[in-house]
Amino acid sequence: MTFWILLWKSVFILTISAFSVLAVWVTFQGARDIKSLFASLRRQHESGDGEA
Amino acid sequence: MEQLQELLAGTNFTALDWAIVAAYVLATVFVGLIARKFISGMDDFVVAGRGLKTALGVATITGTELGLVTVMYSAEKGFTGGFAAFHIGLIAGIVTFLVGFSGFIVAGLRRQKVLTIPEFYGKRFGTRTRVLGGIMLSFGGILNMGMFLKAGAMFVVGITGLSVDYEWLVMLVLLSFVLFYTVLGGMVSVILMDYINFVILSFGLLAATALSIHHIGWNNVFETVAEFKGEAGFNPLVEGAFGPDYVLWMVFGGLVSCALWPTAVARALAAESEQVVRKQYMWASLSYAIRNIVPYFWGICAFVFIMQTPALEQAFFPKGEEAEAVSSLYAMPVFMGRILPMGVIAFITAAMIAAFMSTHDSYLLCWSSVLTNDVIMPICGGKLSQKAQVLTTRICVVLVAAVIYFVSFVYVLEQDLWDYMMVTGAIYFTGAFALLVAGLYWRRASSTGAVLALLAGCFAVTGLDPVQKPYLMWRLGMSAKEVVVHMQGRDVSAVIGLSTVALAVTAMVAGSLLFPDKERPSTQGDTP
Repeated sequence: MTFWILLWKSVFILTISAFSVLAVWVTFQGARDIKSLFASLRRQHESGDGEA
Repeated sequence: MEQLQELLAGTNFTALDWAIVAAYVLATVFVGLIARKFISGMDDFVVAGRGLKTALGVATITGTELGLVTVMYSAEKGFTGGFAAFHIGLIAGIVTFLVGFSGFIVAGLRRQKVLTIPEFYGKRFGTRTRVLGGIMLSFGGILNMGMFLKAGAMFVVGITGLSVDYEWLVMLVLLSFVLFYTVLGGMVSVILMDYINFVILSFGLLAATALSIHHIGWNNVFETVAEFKGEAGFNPLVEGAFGPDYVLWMVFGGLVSCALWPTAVARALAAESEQVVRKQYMWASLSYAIRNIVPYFWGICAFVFIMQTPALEQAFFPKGEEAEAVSSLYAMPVFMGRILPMGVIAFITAAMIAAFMSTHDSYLLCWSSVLTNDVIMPICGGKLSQKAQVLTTRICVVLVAAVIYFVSFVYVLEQDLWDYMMVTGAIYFTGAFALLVAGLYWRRASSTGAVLALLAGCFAVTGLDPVQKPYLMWRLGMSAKEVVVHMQGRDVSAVIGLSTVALAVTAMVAGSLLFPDKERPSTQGDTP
């Protein structure tokens, strides 16, 4: 049982730590991606291929 | 019912918390309005013009797949299975990473430039398979989604202390808001909402986890699980825990949730390039692990809290044969309602409602676009204009919402929510697994094999408790009560699920070899 307790403790701590880093990165980079997505959709509409 | 209401009354949720949650929900309405001006065609409505980059892709995959229903069924699994349930999250993360690394299924699908999975069936196996695939997917998907609304309402009622009598109203209000911005904005609004929800949800999850540990105590969690559950609370393979067949079923479940489930695959199809798909999956593997592991931990903390609070222990684990236990789905919300302070509880509730919305919007849009693209369009001979397609999809969104609202009322959930989800999902994904793998990687796969494999998926329905019970009563000559006792601790959903996979693959192979297509389709997938 000791092995499993140690395994799940490690899995929990590692995933939580990695997710914290991911959350911060996605928060900042995702905002940039949204800007870029809207710019791309705007360009598509202006060039008239939104129906493509 | 009275006992449950008494338990719910112990929450820390106040009027100020209600105001914060209401402000958040209303703000989502504006997102629908903002996104509307970017929609002009079906590509914009369903795959956001295929302009999704990595970080936004991770946010939207997480926003969709980390729904409130995920939190509810995972917390329930943690509550009933202890730390042994962690294997499901760990496997899901590893499998998703491997799918991203190898590009298995998802990269091939992105290369086909299709809008939906059944559209690929159509390209590869013909219109008949596309329509049948669309119907099977929608049937399994809508049935699967039937419990989302119920689980969402149980969370809101559990954490806020609202009367259980108002669950129908909570479901109606939540569904109405989701409908509003999904119908208006399509995928662009869904992606925008998913991003906002990701931010709120991620930090909400981390905060609630820290507060749970602070309240219960890190060592106390492990010691209490060991005391009440023994080794079965940690080792998924030991007798009394999940068992090897269940673990194997979860390996397949991990593949399904990232590479076969249409809402997840929709993100792959909306990605800017194949490279982005792979990167998106490798990063999102963390979210796939965390979306299970964190709620399992909450469920485990709820278990510890309940076992150390006599009144709650009596409610959830009553002594005496006639006493009826409170549903284990209420354990986590009741626990959160009691340990989170005012203000923080609103933040967490808003995060969970965000999770509810970001799942519902994607699911509604996904099933509706499948019905439009893959069932209605082929039946109409492909003669619908872009405008008519968007309108049809919007009508389907409303109809699907009405159906799931109805299912929430009529279906009585008698097994763990997660197992219900896997079984109903299997109606679609067992056949889909055979079709996608064979369609992408096997030249000789034929349309007859594809149809047989899709139909084989129907066998999964025998894994549902309401189907098993009448069968056992007839087969074993038992009364309803005796069957309940007989079924305790005998979850056969994993065995039925794995058998259905084997049946679908066999049907695909046998059907293809015995009835090969006379003409090869124009698309041969990724066959080397």
